[in-house]
Amino acid sequence: MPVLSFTDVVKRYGGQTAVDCISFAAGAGETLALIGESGCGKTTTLKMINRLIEPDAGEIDLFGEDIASHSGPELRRRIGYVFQEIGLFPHLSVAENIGITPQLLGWPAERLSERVDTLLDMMRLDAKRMRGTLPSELSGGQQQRVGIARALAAEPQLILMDEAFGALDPLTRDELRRDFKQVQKDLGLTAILVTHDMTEAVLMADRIIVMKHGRIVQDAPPSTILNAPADAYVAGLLDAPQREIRAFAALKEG
Amino acid sequence: MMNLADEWARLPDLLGAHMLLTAAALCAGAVISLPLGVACARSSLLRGPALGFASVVQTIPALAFLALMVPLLGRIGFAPAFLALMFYSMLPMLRNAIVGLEGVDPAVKEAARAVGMTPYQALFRVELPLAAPTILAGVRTATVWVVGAATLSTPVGAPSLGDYIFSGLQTRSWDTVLFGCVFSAGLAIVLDQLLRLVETGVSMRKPRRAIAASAAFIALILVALLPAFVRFDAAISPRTSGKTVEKARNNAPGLTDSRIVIGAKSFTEQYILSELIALRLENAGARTDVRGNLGSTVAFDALAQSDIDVYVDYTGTLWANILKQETPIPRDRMAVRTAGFLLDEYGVLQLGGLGFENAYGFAVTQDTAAALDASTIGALGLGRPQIGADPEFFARPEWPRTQQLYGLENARTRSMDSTFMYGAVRDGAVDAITAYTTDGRVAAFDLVILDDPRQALPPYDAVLLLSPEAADNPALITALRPLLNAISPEQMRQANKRVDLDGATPAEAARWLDGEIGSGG
Repeated sequence: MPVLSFTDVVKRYGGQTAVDCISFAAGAGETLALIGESGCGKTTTLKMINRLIEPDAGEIDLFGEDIASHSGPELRRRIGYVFQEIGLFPHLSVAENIGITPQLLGWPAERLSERVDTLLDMMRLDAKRMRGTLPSELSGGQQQRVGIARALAAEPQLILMDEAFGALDPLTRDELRRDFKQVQKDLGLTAILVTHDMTEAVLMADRIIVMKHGRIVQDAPPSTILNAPADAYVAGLLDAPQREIRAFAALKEG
Repeated sequence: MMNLADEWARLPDLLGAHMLLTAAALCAGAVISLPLGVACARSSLLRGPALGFASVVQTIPALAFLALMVPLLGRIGFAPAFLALMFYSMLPMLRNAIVGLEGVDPAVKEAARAVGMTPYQALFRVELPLAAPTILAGVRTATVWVVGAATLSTPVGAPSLGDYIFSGLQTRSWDTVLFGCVFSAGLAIVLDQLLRLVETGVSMRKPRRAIAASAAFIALILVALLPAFVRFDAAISPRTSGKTVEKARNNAPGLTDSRIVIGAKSFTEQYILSELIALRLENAGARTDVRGNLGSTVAFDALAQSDIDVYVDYTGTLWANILKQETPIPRDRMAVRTAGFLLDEYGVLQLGGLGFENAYGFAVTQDTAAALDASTIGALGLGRPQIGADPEFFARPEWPRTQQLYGLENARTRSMDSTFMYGAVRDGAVDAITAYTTDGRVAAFDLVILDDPRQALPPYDAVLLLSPEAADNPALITALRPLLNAISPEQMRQANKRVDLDGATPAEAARWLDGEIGSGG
């Protein structure tokens, strides 16, 4: 049984169809990248998974259950969510930020505290020093590490990432991608990420879903996308990463 | 420096009343504005009308807004002042609540949803704490406004620190005015600074500072309210336990049943007369309250509602304002007509005249009088005179009639507080004023009252009016009867002069007048 499946899902805004009858599925531990130009419907698709946006038609199942059978807040406590703007609560300490979802779920204080330490370690942040600090005292990279820790706090099996690394400088981004990949592998997490950056999709995903005008153009592993783009649109998205991958290879060798 | 013992003695009561009014208005304003602000931040449909209403309220001058609440509620005192100040406090709180909530980073709001908060949790755990500094800044602004505006509740019959300002202004006791200003400004500053501490405590996330400042804020309000509660207690308990005492004394049955409330309009003569009435009633064993600085029609409305029990009005005023008559009739007939009308229409008892008339008279300096062709009002009409009067006069029917009868259509008018008009005509700022004929300053400033051969100005006999409730109290009537026809115009003029020119308090002048009446009759 897939962790997540979309069946003929439609979303319209006024007269515009943002997501036009799409279907796909993600297996356990799989990383799926949704990619496409601005306005292709990738973010709308992502936000329908935790009911930040409600679909107009079709069915979305999580572990074989229709997500509509759960309330939004209840559902979102079971699904991690990380986005470009991070959105840490500025009035809460790092520990309080990370612990917010377990706290909403009513975890006992001791278990919550242990969980926060574990996550800070996992995200390679200094637990002792960081716990009490406010988000404003952290660097951008540290903030997003806290953001990811917060998303993982209630031990979700699925995590959603909306351009999660987009605002970071290239070095920090590269480091955080690798660290996240490791954590994800260790936890066996299923991840759905939205990106406009083919490099990120190729580096991080097991499968890439290319979207255009609310429809899926190609759903395939990175190697297939790289070697056999379905059409000129997909090939166009590849142009940039091809150059970067060549540049990476060159850097690696010399 | 004047002796401020009187002012200090009134301070606990007035400060307590001021604080009660301010605190109640602010609390009610906050209870309405803050939830409304939350609703407005979520619905742009609501925001326009709500902000529009609060802004319009804010543009109405506070004094007028307070006065408008009296006919709206049909009563004077705490209720209209409270209602007006409550509305008045809304705009800053509402606006800041909206601005504060809308200013919360959208990413943070999205995160609140994404981590699984319900809308209620997102509001209380994230949005309100983040908007708190802005919301508190709005509360601060509202507090300073309301503390200041509460001084304007005096004319609608709610005691406040404004009592010092209004009565001091009327009796030209600038020390008293200053006393009221210092305490009202001081109160505003102290409350503002305490709220500033709460605000910085919240925004710098120093909960201890915020809590300590909040505690001090609340403690200060409670301490100031103490006299009000003590008095409330004292007013309640004798009513249940005092029956036997009353019967034992039995000197004036009915007088000790409850507090007699005496009204006074906002000028010296009214203060003196209200103090005189209070003196007489207290000598007869009654407990009294003087409610000063009432607007002219406010006083009558309050009496008709039995909000106040007794005050002095003038036949000409009643004739124009209550009977809505434009053409005056001779003095004796007017008193009979007003008495009959007030009893039939309002149940108000016109007990009788005090013995003097306080009419309007056109007063000029000796120099002006010498330059005029004749000593009549009509002689003024030859030039384009500037005429000063209290704001009420130009709104009365006798002004257009005077203009018509004496050719004063071209006169320029200047409204001013009655305190200032005598000095204005003496110093040449205006050519003539509509002086009160019993005012001590007419003689002191050597002013000449011009003749009124065409009887444009109606008679203004001072009459004692009793509310419908008070009219049923024979003991009260017995105690007041000795005042009828007891005060000569000269005695009233002397009493006024003592306050206006010699610096006596109205209470002192009332005691003097009481002695004069005693010896005279």
